[in-house]
Amino acid sequence: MNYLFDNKYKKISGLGFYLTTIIGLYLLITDKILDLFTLNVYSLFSESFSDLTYGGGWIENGLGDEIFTTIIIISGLVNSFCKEKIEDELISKIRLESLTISLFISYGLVMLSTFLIYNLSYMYVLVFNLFIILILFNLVFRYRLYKHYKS
Amino acid sequence: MKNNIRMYRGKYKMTQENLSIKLGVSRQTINSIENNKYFPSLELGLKLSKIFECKVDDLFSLD
Repeated sequence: MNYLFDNKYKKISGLGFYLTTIIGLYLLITDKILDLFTLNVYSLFSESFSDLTYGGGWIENGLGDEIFTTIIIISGLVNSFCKEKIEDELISKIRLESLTISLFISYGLVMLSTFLIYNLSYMYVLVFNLFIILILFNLVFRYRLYKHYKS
Repeated sequence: MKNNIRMYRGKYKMTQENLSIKLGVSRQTINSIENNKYFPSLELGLKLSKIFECKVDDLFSLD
């Protein structure tokens, strides 16, 4: 038994993953992502740095980052863990090795950042790490598959 | 680990593509096995020995 998605979802999830990653990164850099789709949402726990209020309740929040995060994670997971057309044991080995490499690199980056980046900026490192593992795995796996299919 | 798959494939006049279809793996996987870049699982080894009508020992040997 494996936990992989069907091959038919590969193209659509790949398109969603790379497109939303690029658009999300652009909106984050231009500081527009937090202003998208502003709504009143129920928050289980919220902590504001500006007025030091804690606790849950209804708050006004831009849903842009939540929407992009959800799309990137779901499409990234589906795209990374889709079956290949011919899913054999060598492909499984390549997948496992790629996942190991990407985990080592991403945690290496976190450890490096722990000693080089401080305060609120460190929180960004942790947030980016959510996506770095997926993006790295995807890139390493695709590159190694490309090399495999070329052989 | 060495293997004689290329030799047996020649003996049975099979291409990598033919063998890969019989085994349900990709042609590139057969190529990787023949070039000792990948060592197959026991299951694949047993399937190969069945196709080539020989013992697993005849197909694979330790260096």
